[in-house]
Amino acid sequence: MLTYIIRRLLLMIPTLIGVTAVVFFVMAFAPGGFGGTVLNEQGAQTEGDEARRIREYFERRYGLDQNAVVQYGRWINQVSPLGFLNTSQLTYTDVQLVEMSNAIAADDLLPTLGTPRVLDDLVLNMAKYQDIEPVAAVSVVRELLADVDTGLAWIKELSPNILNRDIERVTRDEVVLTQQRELRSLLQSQLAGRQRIIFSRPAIKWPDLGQSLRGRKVTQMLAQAVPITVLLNVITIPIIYFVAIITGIYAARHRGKFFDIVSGFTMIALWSFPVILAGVLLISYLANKQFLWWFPTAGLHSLEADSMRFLPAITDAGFERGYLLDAVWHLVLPVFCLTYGGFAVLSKLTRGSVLDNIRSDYVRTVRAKGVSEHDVLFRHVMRNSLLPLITVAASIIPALFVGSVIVENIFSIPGMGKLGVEAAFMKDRELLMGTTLIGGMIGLASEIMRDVLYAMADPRVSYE
Amino acid sequence: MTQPPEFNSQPPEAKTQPLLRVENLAVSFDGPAGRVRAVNGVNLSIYPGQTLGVVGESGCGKSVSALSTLQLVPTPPGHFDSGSIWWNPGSEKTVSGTVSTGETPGETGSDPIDLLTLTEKQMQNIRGNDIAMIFQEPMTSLNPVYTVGEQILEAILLHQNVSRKQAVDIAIQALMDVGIADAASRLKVYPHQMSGGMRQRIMIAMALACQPKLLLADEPTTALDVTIQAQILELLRKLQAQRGMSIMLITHDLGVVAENADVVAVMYAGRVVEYGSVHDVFDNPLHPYTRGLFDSMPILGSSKHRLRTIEGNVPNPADLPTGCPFHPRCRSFEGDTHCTTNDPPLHEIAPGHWASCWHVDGHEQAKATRPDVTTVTQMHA
Repeated sequence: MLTYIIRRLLLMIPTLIGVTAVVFFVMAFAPGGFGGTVLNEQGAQTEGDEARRIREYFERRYGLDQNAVVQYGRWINQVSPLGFLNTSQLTYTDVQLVEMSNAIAADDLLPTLGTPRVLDDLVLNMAKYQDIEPVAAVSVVRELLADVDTGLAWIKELSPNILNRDIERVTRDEVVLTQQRELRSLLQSQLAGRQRIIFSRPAIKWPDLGQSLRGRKVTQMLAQAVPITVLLNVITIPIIYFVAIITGIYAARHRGKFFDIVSGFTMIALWSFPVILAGVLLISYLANKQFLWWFPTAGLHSLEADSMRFLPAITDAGFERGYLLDAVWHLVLPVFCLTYGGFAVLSKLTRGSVLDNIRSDYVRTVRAKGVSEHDVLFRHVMRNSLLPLITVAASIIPALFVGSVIVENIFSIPGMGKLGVEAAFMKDRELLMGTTLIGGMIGLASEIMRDVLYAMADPRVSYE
Repeated sequence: MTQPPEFNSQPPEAKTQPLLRVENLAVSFDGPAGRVRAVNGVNLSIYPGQTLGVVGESGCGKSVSALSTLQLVPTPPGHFDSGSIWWNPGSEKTVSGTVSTGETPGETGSDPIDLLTLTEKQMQNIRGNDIAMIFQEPMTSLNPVYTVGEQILEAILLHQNVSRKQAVDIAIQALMDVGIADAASRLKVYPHQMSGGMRQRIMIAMALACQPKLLLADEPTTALDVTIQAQILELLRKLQAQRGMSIMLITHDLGVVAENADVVAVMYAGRVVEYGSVHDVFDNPLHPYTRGLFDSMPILGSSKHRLRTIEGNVPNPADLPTGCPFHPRCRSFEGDTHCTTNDPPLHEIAPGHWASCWHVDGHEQAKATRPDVTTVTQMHA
């Protein structure tokens, strides 16, 4: 069993490479390519020259100007625990950092460039970009700054298109400080530069999902979104399973009777009703000041939720619903939208499975032993009937993660679905790949879980 | 639909009581073609220690009769139209250690009880305890997700007031009784890890673990190899001799009947058409259907003559011929309207030998009575 699980886990790797590659190349070859939307979003408010400068900065910073295959290779290297370090992943020991600070102080650079923090960052970026020791980087920076002319020329050499206008506008005699400030910011942005892979530094490292085009770390964004989607699913899945199994068994026991027909009809009708419409209707009737204002329209918490006590209480100011009840109140409509369509498939499956089993030979044997009807159903029929439900669970769990896209968007819940859609709209490369990877891993993991559970539930299945 | 012949249905007297007496049993099923009668006025009786062989083609109502005894016919679509099944466990206590809730009449007293009138709850005390049943399909008759041990223990713990540890000992003994070596470790095995013959042994062990008085064996050997068949039948004979229990052996194999049964009931289209001790029926078959069955059996050593078949097919129970249901296939049928209009009742043609046919010699003098043979003639007795 253990070897089987290990084998399956290892097989996840090529599958995930396949999944991410497809998503990556589809997005990379889409019109506009990666990052287009983000750049246009920011470029729309700026003049042509500056927009070009920003674009160039982004392309350089994130390697968007490179071949798609190279970009994908870089991403794989960044995510893989076994790979080469890139420039952003270089770390320096505390000793080296202290040496660097001392060198900065000794070089008397502080008065020229302002706060120590800014200078530290500058030198550190320099060191990383050039892949040199921090102390050595101090002298490089000093040389660059020694003569503003040299610095400007050096920057101009790096990106010839950027500074023509600025250099002409700002003369040397006018405001040296302005030049220094501009130089500093340019140095920072340029030196933060392209993340190079340092092939001389192979390493075992933590997978790094990189940085969104909008600046935040992808892992940080996922860490906020995943718990919200998990919360939705942890509430939704048990409700679906509980209701579906109970109604399925009851419908099977009373096959052809009133309950069977009505529950079947209702569930198929619910299943057929589109979530988008249901969500919009629920909001516009049940969360509308002009109709029934029973529920909030969006989000997971009220604005003042953070200042609430946890449990509901009655205070001098009247009833206070508290943080917990507030969350429940916000979850009612989204959870309803996620659950109502899910009953039909599972309930029908349970019903069919129970009917199959209740007529089987072994159940006749059990009855002939004198086992009570209740035990026949819940001890013998149930266990055999639920085996197919394990299989279905594996396809339902990832489907719910994806299915919550619509619900999360309608109700503005900042979960995985919303994040993934945003990433796709923005063509935010790292974020999109991050959500794809997590989604793929959830899907594959639930399949492994299904197979393991199946082997545990059915003694006829064995992976030895 | 012809009504089953009417006998006055009184509980049989205690002195000469059979263990089980089926009277005028009629069971029908709702199907796409409307309500179809599968069993139509069956009368049988089984005495302690006796083996009753029930023979007939598929669909003649053998299994339904047995399932009715335990009320295991699914209702709906099944219906008990008429009849009663008298169960008389005798004055002695049925099974030592039985959980006697006092709810089941007959477990405490000696009066015969009509099994068809019992509630589901009362039936559960009878099933597996007083009357056990084994089935044709050993491959599918055990629950695949529980070990053999758990399934045997379930029956024991249900009916006997013993601790789990004692129950394990009983189960091991039951497995050893059916000839399974290494019984203790076999308890932990799942059904799919065993062969068909082994599973049928498990089924028998499970059925006999509570020392039932009557075993309903519904084609217990049909799905097995011939050699395994012989072993299983030998086993049943041995266990019957040891415990003195009665067996209702349902089969379509005349050879199995000849070797194992004391009394034979031949069934056709939901009726018993011939009834008698195994010697009477085999030596002197009266009913044309029974004779047809014997003619269609090969006789070892005589290769000269062709086997004779029974012409035609088993009638569709939804569309039975009028009168005697066998007349379209009958060799004795000569176009007389008596056969096409009147369903013949069982006549006691000779003492202890019944047949339902208008053409059997002597039926004019014979009385139509309920068949009842007490002989226990087999060598095992």
